[in-house]
Amino acid sequence: MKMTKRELFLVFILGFVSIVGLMFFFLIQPLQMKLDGNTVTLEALEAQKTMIESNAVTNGEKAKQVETRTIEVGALLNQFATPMNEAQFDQWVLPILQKYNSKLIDAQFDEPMVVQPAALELLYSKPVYDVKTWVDEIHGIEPIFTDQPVSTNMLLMSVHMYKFRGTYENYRAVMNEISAWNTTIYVGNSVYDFTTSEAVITFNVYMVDKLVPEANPHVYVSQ
Amino acid sequence: MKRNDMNLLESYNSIEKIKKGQSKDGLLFVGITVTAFLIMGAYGFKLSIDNLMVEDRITDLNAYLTSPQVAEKLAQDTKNQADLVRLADIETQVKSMYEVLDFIPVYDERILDIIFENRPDSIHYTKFNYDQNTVAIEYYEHFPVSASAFTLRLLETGIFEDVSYTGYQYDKTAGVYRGQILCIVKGGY
Repeated sequence: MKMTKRELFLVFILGFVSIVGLMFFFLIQPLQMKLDGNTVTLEALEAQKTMIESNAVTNGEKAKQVETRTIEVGALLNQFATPMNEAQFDQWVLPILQKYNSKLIDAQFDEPMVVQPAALELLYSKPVYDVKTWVDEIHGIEPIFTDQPVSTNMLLMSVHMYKFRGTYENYRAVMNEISAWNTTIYVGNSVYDFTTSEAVITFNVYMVDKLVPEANPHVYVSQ
Repeated sequence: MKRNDMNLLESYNSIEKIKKGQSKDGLLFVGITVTAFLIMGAYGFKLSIDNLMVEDRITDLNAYLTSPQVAEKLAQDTKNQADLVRLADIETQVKSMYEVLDFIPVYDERILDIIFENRPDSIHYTKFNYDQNTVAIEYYEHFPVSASAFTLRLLETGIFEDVSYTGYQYDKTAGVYRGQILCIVKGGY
């Protein structure tokens, strides 16, 4: 069978396109896609490696930073009383009462509760009315807003009550010892009855778990 | 009109010339096709080699990244980072709580001393009752003359937000006047 030049050219074009097309779709394109995918994976892994290597350099610094921050934050936490049960708290108070010859009449202990710290239940505020405000304005007196700080964070609180008999001097000395604790143990309520020589002290003990064990645990030692 | 010169050579030559031209074209087409095939094959081969190299590198990197030392380093780094974040959280919370606790009035011997130091001689205490931030001073005196002066003196000390009294009553049985003075201790004192 004889083909004309034009037919031959058409057969050539068809063959050429077929071969090139088949090779592109079945060889080049899959290989290229695979290479692209692998390149992306490789770049990600190399980035990870670079990160790890740079981290390896800063890891020591970071560990040091953690150490420093632990000490700093630990010091802040150490301003709070360490969580303690009633027996441990009793060991703070009883030596003081003994020291000042106070006769213990009653003691009551509450289990620790998780609470929001509150400074005051009632905040005193001076009366305000229009004329006073305007007079103050004329005199250039800035209004004073009494405000107390508020925190929504939680901590532990126990309430412990001691009732004892002793002279006023003894009561004062006990109060003096308590204020020297310099921690987050507050006298929430206290009564001294001069007629019966009976005193009641109710402690609000605010406690937080510690980050760093205290070098000198804040344990009361009778002097 | 019938031709009498039967010179077939001329037509033979022209046919051969066409045939030669056709075979030359065919060779050219085949050449181009084979060249294209070879070029694409070579490119495919290059891609395969590249792929192999990249895969080798990936295998090496995977081996490095999954090695116990690196895993340990990574874990340590992650832990350090998490610890720093937690420490910052603790610091924020603790500062906020301490600010509140620091505002709680402190009822101690200093306040007791101030109440005693400013007491007029005629006033006799019967009870001190401190609750939250208020000290209620219960007293008696033979003549109701000193409560006001005592209240004003306590106000002047500056450690109380307010000092007030609601009055006094005569106790017939004891023959004395009894009253109560309320002192509100300042927050943060």
